[in-house]
Amino acid sequence: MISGEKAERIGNTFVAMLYACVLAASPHMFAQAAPCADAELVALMRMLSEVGAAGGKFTERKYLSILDEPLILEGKVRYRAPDYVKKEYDDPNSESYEVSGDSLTIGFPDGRRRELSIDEHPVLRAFVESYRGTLAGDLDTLNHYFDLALSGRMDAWELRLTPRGPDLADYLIAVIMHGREGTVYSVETLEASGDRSVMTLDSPGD
Amino acid sequence: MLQTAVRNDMTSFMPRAATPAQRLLMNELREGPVARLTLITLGGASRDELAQLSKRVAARLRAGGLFVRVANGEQLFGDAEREQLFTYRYLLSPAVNAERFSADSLRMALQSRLRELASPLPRFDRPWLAEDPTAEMRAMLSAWRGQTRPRKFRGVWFDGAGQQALLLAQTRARGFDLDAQERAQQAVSEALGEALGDAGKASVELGISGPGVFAVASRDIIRADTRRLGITAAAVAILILLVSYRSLRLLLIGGLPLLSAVAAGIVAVDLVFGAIHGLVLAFGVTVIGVAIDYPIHLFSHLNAGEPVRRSLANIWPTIRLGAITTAMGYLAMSGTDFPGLMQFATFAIAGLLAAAACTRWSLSGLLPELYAPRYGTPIADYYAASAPPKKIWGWLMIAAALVALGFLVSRDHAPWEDDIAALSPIPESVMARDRHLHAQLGVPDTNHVLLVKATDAQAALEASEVLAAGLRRLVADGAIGSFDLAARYLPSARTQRERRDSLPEPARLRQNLEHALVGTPFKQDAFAPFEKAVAAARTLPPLLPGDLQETTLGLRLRTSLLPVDDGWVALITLAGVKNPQALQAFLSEHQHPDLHYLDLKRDTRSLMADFREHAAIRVLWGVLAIALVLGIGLRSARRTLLVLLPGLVAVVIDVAFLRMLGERLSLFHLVSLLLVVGISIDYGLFFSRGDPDPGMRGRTFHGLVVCVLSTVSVFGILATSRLPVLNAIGSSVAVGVALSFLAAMLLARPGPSPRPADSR
Repeated sequence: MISGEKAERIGNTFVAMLYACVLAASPHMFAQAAPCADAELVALMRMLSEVGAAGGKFTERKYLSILDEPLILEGKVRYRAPDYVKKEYDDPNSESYEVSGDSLTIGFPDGRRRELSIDEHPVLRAFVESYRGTLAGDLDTLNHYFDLALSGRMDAWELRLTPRGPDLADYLIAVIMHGREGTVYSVETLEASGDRSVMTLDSPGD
Repeated sequence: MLQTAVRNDMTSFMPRAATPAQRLLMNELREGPVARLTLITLGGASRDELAQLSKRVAARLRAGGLFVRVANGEQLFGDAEREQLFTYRYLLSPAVNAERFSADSLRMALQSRLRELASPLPRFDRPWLAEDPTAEMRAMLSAWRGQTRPRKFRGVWFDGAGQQALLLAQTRARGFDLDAQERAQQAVSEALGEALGDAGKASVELGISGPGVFAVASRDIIRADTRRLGITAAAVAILILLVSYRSLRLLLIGGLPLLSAVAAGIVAVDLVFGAIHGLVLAFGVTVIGVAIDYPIHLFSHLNAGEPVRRSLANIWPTIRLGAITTAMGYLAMSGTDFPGLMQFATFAIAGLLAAAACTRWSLSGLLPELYAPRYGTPIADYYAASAPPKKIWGWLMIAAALVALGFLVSRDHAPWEDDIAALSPIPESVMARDRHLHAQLGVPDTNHVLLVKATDAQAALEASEVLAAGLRRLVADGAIGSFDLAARYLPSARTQRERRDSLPEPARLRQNLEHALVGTPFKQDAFAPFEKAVAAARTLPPLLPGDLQETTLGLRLRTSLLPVDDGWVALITLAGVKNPQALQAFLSEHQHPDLHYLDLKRDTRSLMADFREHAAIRVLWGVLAIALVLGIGLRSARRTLLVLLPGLVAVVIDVAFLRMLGERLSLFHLVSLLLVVGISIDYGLFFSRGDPDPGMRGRTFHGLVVCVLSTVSVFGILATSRLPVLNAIGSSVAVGVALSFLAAMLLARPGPSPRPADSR
């Protein structure tokens, strides 16, 4: 069954690609060398973009080569369309991170705050957009930094983001998101250092 | 003559530094790395495009070989250099001391690293964690980065408004190797052109500035002005001669003294100085304005029926006296320490004497016997027919001079322009923009510098480190904003050895680390690479300046650690000096014969002021010399005074006039005033010649009118120059000469005829 479904999807995708290439091939798309949008990807992105706010409690496991056991971090993440994300940890000694538009604010445990532009370092924005862009269903932005591969069904999809530029690839191998329709429920990050982290939302939508 | 080297950099027009410290710094500013900096801005496109272009342009310039360093905010060090610095981190990091590797400190460091690992942001130093858990590399880099961090976008520098990408490039060539600087600037435009081609974009706004760029721009302005002024002045001189004498023959003959003046001036300057400054060539134009008087006087005194030789002999004593007095005035200037001014004086003396000699000995042979030009002389006829001006006009002129003098004395401050930047033809707005961008990039400002001299590089580094401890207190107190010194990038060998000796033995480190690891999730052997690195660092020899050649750090070092004749000098640049008293107190506390404090702006100002005073005294000597020569030539104190008076009157009114226009007076105005005195003496001499008949009197007057017209025109043309130096000379001489003519006419008291016995 699965193979049949897959064949059908490949067929659909092919038609959609042709359609998109012939009719919607704007110079902009060629300039970006963007792949023609996958119809299902477009559909998923639309679904994601319709979500105005998301987030909730999360548990993050970081598997680092230098550690005996994974680092387990708990906290809350909050997203508000179109471009606001805040991630804070339950541990009072941890920093909090707040992204809004182009600015990133780091809140230190002692109450100090530092604001910087996510454009300051070339890979910073890509890191931010991998998560924020997915939540926002911003296909253009994601395409700018990553090659996208969608698999699974709409009620259990997997989106794999692979960096396009060499700068980013120095830090990141891939970001893999899992979700159900317009809700993302886990984010797995594979870093070039061999470190890996998995963030799971305990109660998505809370 | 064709091979005469023409120099165009502005430094010939700066006074020579007085103290060895100033000399060193001036030289460093001229030749050193700061003089080789080129600031490149890219604007007029989206930030994304500009960031990309910045990277492409930088890559091309780095590959091109004309620049030793191109920084645009991307990774500062190459892989090899970073490797070297990483190896030396325990000797170079300012955070290293005995306490740094205790169990407690290590535990705190590990906790910090753990928190960083929990961060969702990418960490650039994550790959080095196992080797560098105390983050010494980071401590080193942030100490080097300094307080000013330019804004970044996509990893490259932008200006504060985020509108322009900034790049800082250091040329391989010296700052005042103008041809090489020009090539380097071309390379920048070419690199941008290629980068634009790659990006498929038509154009962006490119801005280039910096000392080398300004030097090239100054040279181009000097060249263009010299050519433009030379051609215009020559055209005007030709026109005036043609209109006055309506004879092509006279025009050609009259041109000879001018050519000989310019040729003699160039040859003399070349012989004495080995090169000639472009501005001095432009000044040659002014010599034409004076030398043209000699043939004019001759032509005006040619009488029908009188042999040319006799007319010439008749006026020669007057011309000779005029030329010698003017030359005497310049002789007084030629003993100065200002290379540009000395060239001016040499050119003028040689040129004027050559023109006078050419008029005397060459022209008579070229004119037919008994030649007299035929030209209508309404001016001459009118003057011959009119009575000499009433004495009251002369008194009025003197009264005007007294009023002008009173006006000048009533002003509190002498309106002197002692800012050396005012000599530069580069507009102040351009310089200000350059300074602003440099400040954003944190390029050290070299106005306030402490200079520490020692017998060798290490001693200089050590001495500067001692001062740095005190300066840190001044920064903490807010007396100064920040400071920068070579030891910040490369500590002295002594300091490095101290840090090295504070590193724990392997067994001790292992013990401390084991304590620190208790209760952390780190693997027990996670930091074996760190232990190895510390053990290796314990046997490292200190890193010396010689080990850093051709590296980014080495280049940085060379801006602040310099070899001098008999030792080494470490420069400590101070920025944001807010409390000069506190700084002075600190300096008197650390008083030492080898420690000098330079406030470059203040020092050059006082240097200029000293020099200007010196020059003013020389101008007075020049006037005295002129008076003396006149007294000998005229053998009458009264007549000497009468001939000299118009010039003095003119100068006083001239200065008052310039002052009223709001102009600040510089050294070059002083020199011009001397020229005015010289020219006015010619006028005074001719007006008081006591010509035997009204016809001759009329022709003398005609000649003088032609002289004043040509001189005022030529200097008026000079006043249109964009070069402040030429502009100053042009305006003050044009006004002064016109006034001299008026004063000479009104004050003249014709003396006895020069040849009463031989008179026709």
